[in-house]
Amino acid sequence: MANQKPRYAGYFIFTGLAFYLFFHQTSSFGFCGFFVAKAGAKLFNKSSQVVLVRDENKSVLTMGNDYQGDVKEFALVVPVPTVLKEKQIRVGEQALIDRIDGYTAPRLAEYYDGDPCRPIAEFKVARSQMPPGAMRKRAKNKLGVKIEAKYAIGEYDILILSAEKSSGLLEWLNQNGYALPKEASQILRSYIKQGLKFFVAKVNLDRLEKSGRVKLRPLQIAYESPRFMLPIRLGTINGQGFQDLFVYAITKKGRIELVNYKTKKLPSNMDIPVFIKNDFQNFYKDMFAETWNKENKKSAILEYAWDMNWCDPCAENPLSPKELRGLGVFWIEKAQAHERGRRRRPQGAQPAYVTRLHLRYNGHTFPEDLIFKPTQNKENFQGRFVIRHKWKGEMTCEGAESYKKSLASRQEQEAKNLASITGWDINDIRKKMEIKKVDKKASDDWLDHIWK
Amino acid sequence: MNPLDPRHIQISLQSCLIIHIACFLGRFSVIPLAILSTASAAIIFLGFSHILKLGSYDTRSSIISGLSIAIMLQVSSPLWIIVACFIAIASKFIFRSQGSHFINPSNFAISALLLLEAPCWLTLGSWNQSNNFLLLITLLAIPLLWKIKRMDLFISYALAYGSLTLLRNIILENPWHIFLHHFFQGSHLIFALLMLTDPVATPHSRFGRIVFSCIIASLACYGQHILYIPDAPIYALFIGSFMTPIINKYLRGSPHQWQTKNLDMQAILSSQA
Repeated sequence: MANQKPRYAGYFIFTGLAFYLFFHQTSSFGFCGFFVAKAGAKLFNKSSQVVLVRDENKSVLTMGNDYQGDVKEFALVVPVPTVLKEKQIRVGEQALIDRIDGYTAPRLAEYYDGDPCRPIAEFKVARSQMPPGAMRKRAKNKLGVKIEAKYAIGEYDILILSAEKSSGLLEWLNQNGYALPKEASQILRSYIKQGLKFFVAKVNLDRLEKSGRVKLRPLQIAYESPRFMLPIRLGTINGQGFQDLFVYAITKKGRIELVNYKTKKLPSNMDIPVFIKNDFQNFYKDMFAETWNKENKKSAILEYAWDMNWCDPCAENPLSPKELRGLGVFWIEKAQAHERGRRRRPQGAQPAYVTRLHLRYNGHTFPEDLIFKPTQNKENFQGRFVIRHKWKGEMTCEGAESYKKSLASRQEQEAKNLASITGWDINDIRKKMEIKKVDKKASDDWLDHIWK
Repeated sequence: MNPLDPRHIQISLQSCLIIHIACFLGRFSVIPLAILSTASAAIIFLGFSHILKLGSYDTRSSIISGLSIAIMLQVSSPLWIIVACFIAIASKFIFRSQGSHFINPSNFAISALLLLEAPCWLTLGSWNQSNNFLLLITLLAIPLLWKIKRMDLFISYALAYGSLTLLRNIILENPWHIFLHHFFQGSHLIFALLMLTDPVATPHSRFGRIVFSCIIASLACYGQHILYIPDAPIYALFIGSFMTPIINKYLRGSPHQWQTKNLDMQAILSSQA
């Protein structure tokens, strides 16, 4: 048993994603420069993705499934507030989670300096990407576990359980192939006393084989409850250290707020050295880690909050109404989704606002489950970074000297920015940039300009 | 002007909170909003004073209300700060009993705007990494609470809320660190220190204040854990304030009086948070 693979790898935390570098070379033009790169959730090992859709008391939860192990070993246990009916459960599409991840990812915008010897041409740029707009079984066994419902949906066999005692539930789960460690007992007990039910899923190998699919699809559940929370405690007992969780929350009116933890904004709108263009993914990972460390590892990081009708610059196009419906945005009418889903870009305003939160947590830094609340905060925020290419053409005018000096101090500032937000060594950065430290006093020597 | 007037201490503490929000919590807009809210609250108070011919020009209490609004409430447009100040100051003149107002003005304004679904919100988690600063603020607030004789209210609220939260923690068999994490929420501490302890809008007798704090703590816990309303403590004070005249009727005590020359106007002038 000791050498057996842990089978509880996906309590609702799907782990084990191979390191995956993503470099997206597109040229969609944005108001704030050319978008050149994005950094999505797939960069992180042991990460999970959850899409939360919420309006009034209605919630739709999509749990991204990046489980990489043997599907026979896959097991999922999620505390849910109510006994779910079959129509409240669905198998979704991972592609839609990838879409919202891509749309909300931190982004890099690129500018080119103009010729300092030519007058600045005034030009207007239109803002891009801104369209106007079951079978039921009630047998209670001797362990005090009642199977409230049993469903076969897609490649999954799903049970909704209620329990009287955590020890009975734990034993039942272990007997039925959901290998949870002993430490789970206390957490299960707390959930039972809170009146929560348990959504448990395993893969049906026959149906998976018949479907011809290789990868498991995300599970979606819809329920009505005043509780707006995400249970993370079960996922913290496996002792695998810190885990990354990406929450993409979609509401009608504005941002969601994490109530019981601090939310810190990712650094943004900073000029950084040009070489980051080829290393944006590592930059993002280290910048996130540095921001998180500065917060004593106890804050969630806000990476994106935006009205889903547009973006600027766009890492990916906004999601169409059809895609939003696929993620459970139930207030977008079916007809509207069908009609507009045919178009490449959605036309007309859609009442959808997305918040992307990135958490890195364990049981000590985030002891409580995540509690959210919707707000009417519609202030847009994005993790956006800018690289500026220097003018490489010939410079023969008087202004060239001044440009060269300003360029040196600009590059020095870019190096400092990068060092401060990533924790990288500034001398290494300067070396990569092929610049020397600028002595500000020397560069600003007033005597250089006095007789000119 | 007496520098040790409790209102001056309160304004100083609130100013420290605003500077901390701007410098360490990254919400720089709080400074212009605080200026706007204090100016609005003072002007609106003077306007009411003029219309009602009260002859009072002491705006310190109104400034405290304005600062409380700026600290706690976030708004989509500065206009809502002015609206909140108007509601707060107006409530002082509308909800009156035994010669003084019994509603906490800033709490009333914040609750009203949230209940009316105005584009305003509270960020409850924002103070969670400011433990040392909040400990300092708590220590600095002790003389204030002592002077306005509301230390009993603060302690009894902390004990009542803490006991109920602990009881829940024990019932759910949650580990200790969950209780501690939940109990030491920074925004809740600020609420208890600087809003709940309004000397005018709280019961006059010590026993009355203890009863009052237990009512607020029970409502706050019920709202948070049974109804799942994160902003429950704010609403709890809003509802509980209406109990103040009843408590004062049955549990009599001497009303709080600020050190002002015009004793007739004390009730109107005296307000906090």
